[in-house]
Amino acid sequence: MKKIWKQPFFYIACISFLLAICVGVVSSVSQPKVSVLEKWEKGVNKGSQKILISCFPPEQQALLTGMAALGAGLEDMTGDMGKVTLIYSQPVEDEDGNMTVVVAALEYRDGQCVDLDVEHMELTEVNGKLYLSDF
Amino acid sequence: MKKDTVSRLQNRLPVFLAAVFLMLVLAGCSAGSSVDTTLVLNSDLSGVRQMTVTIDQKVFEQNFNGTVENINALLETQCPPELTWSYSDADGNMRYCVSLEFSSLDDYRAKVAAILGSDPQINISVPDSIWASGISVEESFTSLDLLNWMKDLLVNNQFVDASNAGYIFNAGSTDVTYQDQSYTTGNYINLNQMSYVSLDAIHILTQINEDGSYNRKVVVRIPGASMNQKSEEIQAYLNGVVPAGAKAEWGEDGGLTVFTVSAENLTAQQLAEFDRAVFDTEDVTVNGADVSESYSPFTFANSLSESINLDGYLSDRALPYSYQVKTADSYTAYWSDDGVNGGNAGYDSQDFSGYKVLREGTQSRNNGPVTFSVLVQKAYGVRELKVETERTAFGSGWKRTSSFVLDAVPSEEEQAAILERMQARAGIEEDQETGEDSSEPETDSDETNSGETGSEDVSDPGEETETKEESDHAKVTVSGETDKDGVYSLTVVQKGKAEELSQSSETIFGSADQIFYGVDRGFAKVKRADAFSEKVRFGNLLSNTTDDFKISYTAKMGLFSQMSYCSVDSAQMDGNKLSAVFYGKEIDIDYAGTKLNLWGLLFWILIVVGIVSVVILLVKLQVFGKMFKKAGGAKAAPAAPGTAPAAPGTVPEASGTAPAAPKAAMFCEKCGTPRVAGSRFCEKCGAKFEDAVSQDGQ
Repeated sequence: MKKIWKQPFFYIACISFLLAICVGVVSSVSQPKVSVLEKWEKGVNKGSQKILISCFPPEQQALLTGMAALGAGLEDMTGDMGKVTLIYSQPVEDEDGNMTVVVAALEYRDGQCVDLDVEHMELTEVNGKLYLSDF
Repeated sequence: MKKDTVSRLQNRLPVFLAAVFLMLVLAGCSAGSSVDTTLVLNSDLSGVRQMTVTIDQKVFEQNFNGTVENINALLETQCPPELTWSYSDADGNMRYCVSLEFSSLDDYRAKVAAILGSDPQINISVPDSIWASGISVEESFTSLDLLNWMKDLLVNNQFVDASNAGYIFNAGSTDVTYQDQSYTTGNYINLNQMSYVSLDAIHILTQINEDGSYNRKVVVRIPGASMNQKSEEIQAYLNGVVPAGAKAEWGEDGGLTVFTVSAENLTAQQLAEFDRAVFDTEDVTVNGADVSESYSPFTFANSLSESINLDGYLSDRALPYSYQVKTADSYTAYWSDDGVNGGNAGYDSQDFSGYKVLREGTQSRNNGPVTFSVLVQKAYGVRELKVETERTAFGSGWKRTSSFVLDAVPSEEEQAAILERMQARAGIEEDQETGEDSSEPETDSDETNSGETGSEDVSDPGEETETKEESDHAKVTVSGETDKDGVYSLTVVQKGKAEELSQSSETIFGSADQIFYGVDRGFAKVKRADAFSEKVRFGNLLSNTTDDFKISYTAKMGLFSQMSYCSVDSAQMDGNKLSAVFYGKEIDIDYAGTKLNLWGLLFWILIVVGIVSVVILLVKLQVFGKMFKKAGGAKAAPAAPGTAPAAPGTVPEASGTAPAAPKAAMFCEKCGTPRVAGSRFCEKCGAKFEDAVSQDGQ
């Protein structure tokens, strides 16, 4: 063990790993993921209405679940679509307290991006968690 | 029997005779009274209508219940306020003189309407021009209509029996007096004592000069018949309307006598004075205005609206007229109903070279003034719009450079005006610092709030950060330049965050833009997906473009960007620059691609460096060597004599001896150099091998 402290590569390794952690932390903190959008992306790609419904406020989930049961849910979100990647800005709160985020939905088929749609989405906060505002 | 009949007849005779007499008086040669009317008119259409009610004394005594005093007391309180009355009985007849005074034709109409309880038709014209003179009066009511109130008073107050109401008034004579001449007419006044000299046409020609002044020409065409009728009077009249400083000339054209009066370089006010003199009327208004502000900065526009009463030239028939306009080169004239928006551009005049006929028609007397409204425009076309969008350092903001390339070079004054107007749009104050080079005037507007800058995230330079700030405005710079090829362009540079740019675009271009950039959130990815979208409209700045107009658009993407999708088919990537051409008047582009993630790259480099360092460290610590040794020793034991000599750097195992001496290290502990068998010092660094010492027992 004594010899380790004398090895410069020990310090190089420590510094490298520390810096890598810092880079990772800073990158993550500066551009945090918005969990509801990550969930939405996951739901769209899996075709899971359950996941999509969980993106809405709790008070709307029951209604959406019922609509889904009747076939009037979010079927158009889980239809014939390629892989969807969501790229989004950080949510911004305006002076009225409304939170909006700009979301670009990239659709990939066979590894190629075939469509891009940019939308403004409204978010709402319930009990400290962000949800999609409307459907 | 006969005696009885005769005596009955004799008894009733006086009554019968009285009745006969009464009938004769009331229904015979005259009614209860006679109403004579005199309408006195002045040249300004003021005047008085006098209605004289003459009542025979005997008829009054026999048929009117009550006294004159009774009637006068009633009139005192019940006479309409529009009328005045007086009573006299000087010549043995009772006379009531009822008068209606008026200050104007409108006043006359209003008062008559108040008395009648309905709108009357009253047309009075007393022209006194060379073209029309005399008097014409037409009314839809009589004096008896105006005195109905008096009849009702007498009946309602039982001065006259209701059965005799229709016999109270009888129309007498009706006269109209004007300028000491009296004309007798019927009860319904219908008088026409006009004489006319007609014209063929009037042409009003306007030349609008580049400096905003006006040249005016009025051309009057007179038929030969009219000249034959009043040649000297016509010439004297027209020569008399020529204002000071104007030119007049007489000519002939196809049997018509043509009189032209003209003046040049008039202001709007001088033009109005010219019109008042030539058209012999005060009913003229002229308004000229610079309405360039209603258009793009590249358009210069002036409006001219006029209102001219042509009655001074009108006779008994409608007079044809035309309004024609000529403009300076590169200007175009339009008829404009509102003075701001251009409409019909008219057609080439066949009579006057270089003029366009914008309005023509006919005008009759007493129809009020004719109005003309013209818009004159000079618009520079935009040949090309070059737009370059890029994200500023650290990705916290944007910079958009928009260069409007014009199809011609404006004059210096126009360039200054264009720059000033664009600066006003951008909210750049006039007292901001301006560039000294007149060919490249430039002013800056630094409206960025330097107070709260928000959190500047130290993040991937290619990422967009969303930071909310208070009172944020984009920094806008406007400049104009004529390049060496003689092409003029106006450049607008906007710098700021996406929201600031959007607000700035709304102010400058008339509509808010949308700009978005985002990247995939996986920090550890070396190549991340990114998306970019920009939508910009340029409003009326592109209201006038050339046929070959296009928008040349470029946007700088991140390092080592690769495009995988773009909504514009013609888009291309040149290095990290996305370029596209739009042939419409707006930019609408969506881009998806990948870019090098420097932070991710750095992350992995650091990880690799760390791992390599660990490996090297382990090697240096001979961890691997010990591991190999352990593995090698387990295979070789027990060793037999005569076995192959140990490899260099290794200490041969002594078989069968016990206890075994500690094995020497294969590498120098200090520098890691392989050790020569039996050596006591490292050949490279000179370090003493401790195990060699212990083995030797020295």
